[in-house]
Amino acid sequence: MPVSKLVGAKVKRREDPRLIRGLGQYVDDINLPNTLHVAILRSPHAHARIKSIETDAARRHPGVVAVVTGAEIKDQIGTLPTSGGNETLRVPKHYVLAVDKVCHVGEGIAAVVAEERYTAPDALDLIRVEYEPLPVVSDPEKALTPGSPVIHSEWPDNVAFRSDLKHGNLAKAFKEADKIITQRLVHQRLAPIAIEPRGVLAHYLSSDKELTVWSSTQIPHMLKSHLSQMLKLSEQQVRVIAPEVGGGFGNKLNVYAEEGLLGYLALKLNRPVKWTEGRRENIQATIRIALQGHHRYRRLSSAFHASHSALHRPDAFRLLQDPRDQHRLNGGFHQQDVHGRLSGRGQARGHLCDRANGGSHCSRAEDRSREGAKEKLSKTCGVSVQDRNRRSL
Amino acid sequence: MDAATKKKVSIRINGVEHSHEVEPRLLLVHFLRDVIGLTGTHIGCETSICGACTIMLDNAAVKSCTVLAVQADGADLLTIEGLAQGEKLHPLQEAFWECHGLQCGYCTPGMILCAHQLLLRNPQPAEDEIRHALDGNLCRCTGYQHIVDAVQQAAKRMGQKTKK
Repeated sequence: MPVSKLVGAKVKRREDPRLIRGLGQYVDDINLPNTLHVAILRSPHAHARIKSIETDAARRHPGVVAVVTGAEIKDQIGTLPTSGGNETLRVPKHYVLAVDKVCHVGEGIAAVVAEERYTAPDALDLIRVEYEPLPVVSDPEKALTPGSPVIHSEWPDNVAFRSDLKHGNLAKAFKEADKIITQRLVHQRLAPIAIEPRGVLAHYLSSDKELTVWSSTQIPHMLKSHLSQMLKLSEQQVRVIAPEVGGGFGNKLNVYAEEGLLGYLALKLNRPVKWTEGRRENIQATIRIALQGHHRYRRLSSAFHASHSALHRPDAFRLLQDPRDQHRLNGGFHQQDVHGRLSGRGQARGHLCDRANGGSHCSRAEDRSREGAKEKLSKTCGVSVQDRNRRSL
Repeated sequence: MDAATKKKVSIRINGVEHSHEVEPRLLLVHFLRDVIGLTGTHIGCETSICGACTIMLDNAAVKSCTVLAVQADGADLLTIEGLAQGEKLHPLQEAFWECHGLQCGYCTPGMILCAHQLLLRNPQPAEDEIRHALDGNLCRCTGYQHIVDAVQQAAKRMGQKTKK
């Protein structure tokens, strides 16, 4: 069909006939024979040392096939890799299940594999964990101050990365400015919530030495690379299938611990394994982000602190250090002199949603400053804020 | 679970009788999905908030994640798989397709069945009545406008059909 016929036309989607009949195949809809069900015990603490884990009762529970803890499997499966970042990025050791200490509420501690869907969470209740709670820091600016509790033991402080963007002569611009507006902005935590929680089904075909992973993911290709690294398989041995995905909005843009864990369990147990995230788990263990910072307008100078998760995904760190996000500090308007500084630190939990994707934070900072300039500009130059916006484009 | 503690349930689903021994704690949505194999009914929240698991139970829209299978013993259920007549889509399904009433499709079965209950009770609802009726069903993709359009279009088509 020529493009001209599509413009303004109502085009019926090809995928809809199956979706409106309930015939779509989301991860939890896919059933393989002999599939085992996985449930994950999660930390109730934001920061705590794991003193002991008692799993014997869970192992003895009828229908339980395996129980694994972070300490037991840490040498058999790699930590979560990252796919990029600038040279200042620190990547925390993110194990698929916590080893020695937990860094956020909802971090996986142990997993139960059982024959039936309801048996796995039954057995989770039988696991006893003794924690020693550690100091918690939940404010991104406090996390930067000297003496703040350090979340990742292997880091000297909580700074995940620093990133500076410089353009033009900022000092001169401030010196010559008619008015300097300084604002403190706190952006609410972004919480992308898809109606379908995450889920993973993994199947290892030992005859072909091939692992197939179905995941409710937005990034099957990256997942394939990361799984091969974590499980020490060649990429040819790993097949990732993203079936119907019931919404993502960015929080399925990360490779998660559960994907590595399920791949590992499928290899180890040689049976298909399935994990379906519950909503409570989704709220605890799927990534969110908050942002707060100072912003000065004229031309533009800003310092933002992105509050990433304690352990959360290195890929989430990548987002805000991406120069494209920093350029969004320009809000799409032409600015002559720019200094944007972003720093992320392990602290609470974080993520950017693709509908916002950092751009909304940056645009908001820009727009709020512009609003602040409105009164002054109108009075001194007789220019409305709308005109000012138009002239800047 | 011990076989002795299981309960027998007989449930009519989309016109077909099903009898199974189930654990008393088994949720109706898991009965439909795992025992019967009808996976069109989705689970979004397990707390009755999102409505993805909505089905019709004896002509009333219910959230099957908070009904036990044993509570549905003897009931007549309609799930999304039973709404079309063979290859012929229900007017609501046609309208959701035409009006772009879905994107990812995860909330869609529940949304359509909840709208189905509305049109059974109120064949020509006003826009605010549609929005009120679908209040218990969440969609994260569409922003709802096209869903409301779809229900209005279905109501209109069904009304025309009745007049003929």
